Amino acid sequence: MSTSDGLNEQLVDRLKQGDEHALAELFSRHRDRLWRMVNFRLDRRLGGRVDADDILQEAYLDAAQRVHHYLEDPSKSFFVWLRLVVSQTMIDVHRRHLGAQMRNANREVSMNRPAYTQATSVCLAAQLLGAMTSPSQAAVKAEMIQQLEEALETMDPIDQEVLALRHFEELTNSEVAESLGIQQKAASIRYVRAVARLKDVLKRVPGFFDSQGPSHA
Amino acid sequence: MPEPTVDRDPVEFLAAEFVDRLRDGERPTVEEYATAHPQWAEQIRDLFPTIAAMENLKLDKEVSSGGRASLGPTKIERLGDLRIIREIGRGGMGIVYEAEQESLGRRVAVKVLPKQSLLDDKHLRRFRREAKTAAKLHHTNIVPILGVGEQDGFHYYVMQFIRGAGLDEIIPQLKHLAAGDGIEATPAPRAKRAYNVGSVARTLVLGELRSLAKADNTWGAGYESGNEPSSGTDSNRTALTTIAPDQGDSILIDDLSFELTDGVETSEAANPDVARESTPAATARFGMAYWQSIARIGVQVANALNYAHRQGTLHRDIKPANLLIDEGGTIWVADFGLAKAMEHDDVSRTGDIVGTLRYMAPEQFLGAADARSDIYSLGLTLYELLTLKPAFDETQRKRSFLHDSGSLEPERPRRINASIPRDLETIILKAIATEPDARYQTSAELSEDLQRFLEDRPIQARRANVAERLLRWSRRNPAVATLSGLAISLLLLVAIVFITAYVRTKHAKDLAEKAETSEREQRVKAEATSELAWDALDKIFDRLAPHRYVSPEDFAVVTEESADFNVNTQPVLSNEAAALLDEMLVFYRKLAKQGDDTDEFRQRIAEANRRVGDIRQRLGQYGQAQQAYRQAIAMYSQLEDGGKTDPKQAAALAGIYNQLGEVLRSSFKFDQARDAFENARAILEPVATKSSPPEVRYELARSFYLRVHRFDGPVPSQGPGFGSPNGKRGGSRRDGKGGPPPSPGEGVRSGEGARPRSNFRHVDDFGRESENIERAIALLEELTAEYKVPDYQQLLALCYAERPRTLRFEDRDKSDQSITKAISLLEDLVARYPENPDYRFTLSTVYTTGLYRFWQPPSEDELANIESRALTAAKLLDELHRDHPGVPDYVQSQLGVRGGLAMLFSCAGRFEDAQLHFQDAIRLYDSLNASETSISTSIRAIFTRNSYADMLLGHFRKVKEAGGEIHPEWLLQAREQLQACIDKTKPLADAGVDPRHQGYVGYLYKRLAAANAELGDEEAAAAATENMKKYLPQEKWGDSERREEWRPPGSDRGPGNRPRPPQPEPPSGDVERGS
Repeated sequence: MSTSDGLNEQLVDRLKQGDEHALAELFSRHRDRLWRMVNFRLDRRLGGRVDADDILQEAYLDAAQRVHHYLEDPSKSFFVWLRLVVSQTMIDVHRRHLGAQMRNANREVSMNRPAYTQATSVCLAAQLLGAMTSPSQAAVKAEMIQQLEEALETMDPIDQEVLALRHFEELTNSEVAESLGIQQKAASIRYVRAVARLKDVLKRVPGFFDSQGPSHA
Repeated sequence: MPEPTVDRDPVEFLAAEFVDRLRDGERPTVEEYATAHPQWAEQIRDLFPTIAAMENLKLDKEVSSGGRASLGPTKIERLGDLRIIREIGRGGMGIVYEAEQESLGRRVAVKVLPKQSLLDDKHLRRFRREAKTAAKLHHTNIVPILGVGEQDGFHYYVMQFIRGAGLDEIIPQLKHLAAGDGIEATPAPRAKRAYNVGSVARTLVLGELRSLAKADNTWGAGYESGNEPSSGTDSNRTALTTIAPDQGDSILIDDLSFELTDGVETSEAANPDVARESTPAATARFGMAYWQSIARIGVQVANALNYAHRQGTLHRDIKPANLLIDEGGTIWVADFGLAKAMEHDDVSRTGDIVGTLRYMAPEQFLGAADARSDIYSLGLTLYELLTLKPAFDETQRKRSFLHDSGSLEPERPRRINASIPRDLETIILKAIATEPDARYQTSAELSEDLQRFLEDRPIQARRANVAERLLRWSRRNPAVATLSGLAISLLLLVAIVFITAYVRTKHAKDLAEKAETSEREQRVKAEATSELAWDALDKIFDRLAPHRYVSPEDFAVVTEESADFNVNTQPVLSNEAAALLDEMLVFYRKLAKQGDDTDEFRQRIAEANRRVGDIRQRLGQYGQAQQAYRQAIAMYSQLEDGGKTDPKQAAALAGIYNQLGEVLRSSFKFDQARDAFENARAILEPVATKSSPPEVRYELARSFYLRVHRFDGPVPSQGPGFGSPNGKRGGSRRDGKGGPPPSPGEGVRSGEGARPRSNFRHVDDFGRESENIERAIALLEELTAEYKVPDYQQLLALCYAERPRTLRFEDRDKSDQSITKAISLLEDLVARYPENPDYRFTLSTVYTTGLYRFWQPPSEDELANIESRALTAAKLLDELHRDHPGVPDYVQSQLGVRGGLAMLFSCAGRFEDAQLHFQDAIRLYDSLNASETSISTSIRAIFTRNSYADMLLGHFRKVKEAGGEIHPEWLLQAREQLQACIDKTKPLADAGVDPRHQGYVGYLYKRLAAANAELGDEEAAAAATENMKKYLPQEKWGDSERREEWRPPGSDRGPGNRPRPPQPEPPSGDVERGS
């Protein structure tokens, strides 16, 4: 992964030396993954008002203002720190836009929020439908998706979180460990266990593995 | 490649690598990892498919988050000559930006499509073609297309920039207004649009579109400024410079400039009307001005459509989001023809389709669209503006087109809001008539009528009266297509009039009797009226639920021509018809109650009930069918002789018992079914002779046949009309043709009476089966020689088809001959009566004969023969299901044939073929909606899944033992199928109705445990074993009897040595053969 190469450290070094371009470069190196995180976790109610790009833009400004905090104590990897900044920005944006609707914005958008509850039926549908050819099929399958969502909600939130970090945000194992404040080994074991649980959940959704098709099997 | 470290779970480490490769676009296989790392192979096989699924999930999610388009993590800043200024909206299909075309220095709107949306050349070509066509449209109310382009894989098209909002944004604001909330104070839902949607809504309500111009002050105050868009405080004089050149006939802008200060408040201050109107008096909000606004919108869109339609271009996706209203109040239709061009079949875009579904015309679901479809969609949009709620929600929509009825009619707008003008309602209802023929035929007509409404002139559309609605109803029901719906409604009307008249005269008669005046005259009149009423009712019944032939005499072999007497009107197969007939039964009873409680009328009522039962049976509504048959039987029992002396009456009554038996059997009440068949036999035997009326012999043959017929293959429904070939009026004929009751000695012997109950499959023992079928065949061969009644021929064919089962195994030749005879009889029938679904259906079942009987694998030749017949059957059944989607028998047989083919191949050792057919069967089942699913289909589905799981498990073990390449997917599949079976059967077992159910569930758990054990999932295996113990008696636990575990239910032919699954004898196959 991009975080493990030397370039990252070089950039951080340049940053320490006061090179402002380094931050932009670092940010753009991680932009895809950050975008994924925001896109994944953006509250549905904000759909149409704010999108991931807006939040990233704002987060970049926040990061620029706060980067000295990181430089004073670079115990975390830069990406994990950046991700924290972005998540804070997200919380701010949510709070600003949803206001009274979410008094406890902090908790609601917290990074431990069960990620799947955000996965809309529509995007899951996209996955499940496979070769959907007609509206009628789509409609039939929409019910399946509902079942899937319900099934996912029965999973342990931490398990969901680990899966979300690994797959939807594309974090590495060590980044997951860092983000959740656990040992690498624990993160690793937890992930394997979470996949096993997910598999059990998916199995309960009729036709899920059918529709996956044999392409990866 | 980095090495695993002690800090990582090795499987996690491998998973990370696997995922990285997937993300790099490689296609690593699960097996590849399992093979390379045997020590973790099991976990890899278990988990990696899920991991791959997660990655797929993410990809799809990113291109369509929340049903809206997204370009993924890419940010677009420039497209060729276009400098992107900001995003102004996004729909399912693309993102719209405001942009500056730098070379011309003008503002444009550009819609950028996600990369995935034009995946192949075909779509791309289509997109370009449509864009070209759309670019040729020049109309005041159509957003002009300026060009198309492509950059970095993003396709886009450029449109004139319209300063406005989609009606989809306006509607929520209108709702706020209607609710008396006032305009939402928060920024408009799309902040970046910076358009005061609320004020547009308000002006729509006020019918003063000109004040929309005020919204201008919020332009540009938007997201970039970091302020809430509605807080713009500019106070300057702005002239409207972008008025469309032709304001058309509907909107007059008499004052183009405004003193602008602060949005809404000012507008209220500046305009006393506004201020008054917007006070909380909610009723005043939606006055005539609002209705007129809607009509104006309608006129403009209809004009645009009319123009485009005349150019040969359909829009295909008219919906609020595609109708923009600009500051001048002009409506702009966007995305002409392009919506459809961008819809593609291979990438799933549920959001789009479901979103659009709401406004789609019924015929569009079937892939047909014309100008009238656009009119329909516009109608629905106007409906929504009118009532502020969608005409249909998506669930309704879904349901209606799944059921293929299209018979959905929205609530009348005036029922939602009584202040909606009647004429406007009429216009809109006409635009959204389900039948395209009932709509406005051109947009010009619609536009004209809306114009009339605006000018207070009488509109052209008429409200549909009851007769028309009935007519439309019957048109929508294809089965009634052959008859005139008007005729039905007229008949019904006549019947009601007569009945009322009769009841009145009867009443008058009573009075008259008291007065002892003209008693005779009154009575004659009453009788005449009564007769007319009965006739009218009978006629309606005949129309809706016809007997398939007039009488056997018509088919007597006299001349060749008479053989093809055309009486095969298709019976109507619809819930509506059944419900209508049910209601008519009330009239029958009313008539009967009025004193003319004679045997004749009882018979008529019995007959009417029977026909209702027939329709219910076909629709798989077995409970209701049973009820109707029992009513009919009850009526007969009230006859003087119990309806058993007169041969024809006896035949009619026995026919009802046979029908009842079939219904009972379909409900798995085998004992009761047997009793019903037994009753039929007991009624007929005393009266049957060689010279009995044909119907007597036919019903008797039928009761023999039905007793033999096993319920394992798909059961051909005997259907309505089979049973009582005695003319239009059931047993009411008393023309004496039946001859005198036979003397007991001449009776056709049936063998013997009741026998001990067999198991729930109601199978006679071997010898008895043979005797019964031969008896039936003898009777029918005689009958068909005398009468060319198609149903006699059909039953004979069925008996021939049934015969092989009663033959010894050595009699293969005789079996084959019998089947061949059956097929040729049926092919003849299908050729003569191509419209009749029953004959096609029966033929399909006979084609599948060999399919359900293969205790040992067929030879290659046989296999090929059986396969080709079965595939023909499958084709017939698919057609039948398509033509008659409401008939569960057809569906069940479809399942049966596919399941049967699967079993056949599984026995023949053709695992892959078997697997495909199993999957087809299961997929078919999954695609059924609730109304198509009967108990029988569910059971068949359970059995199919069960057999599939058994085969997968068996195959897995076989391959494993042989040291071949095994696939854990087999086990996963098996497990899933077993789980599905358990989910379905467990409630039944838990209800504790029948210990066999528990036994079956126990066996399912046993298999599940085995599958889990093979998968190495010890925990799950243990859990399943626990469950097994709960359901299965202890002596059946034995883990050592592996062989038995795998045996598909029914494959042990010993009598009841273990619990049977609660299902009919399934197609059987020896899955374990190889091991």
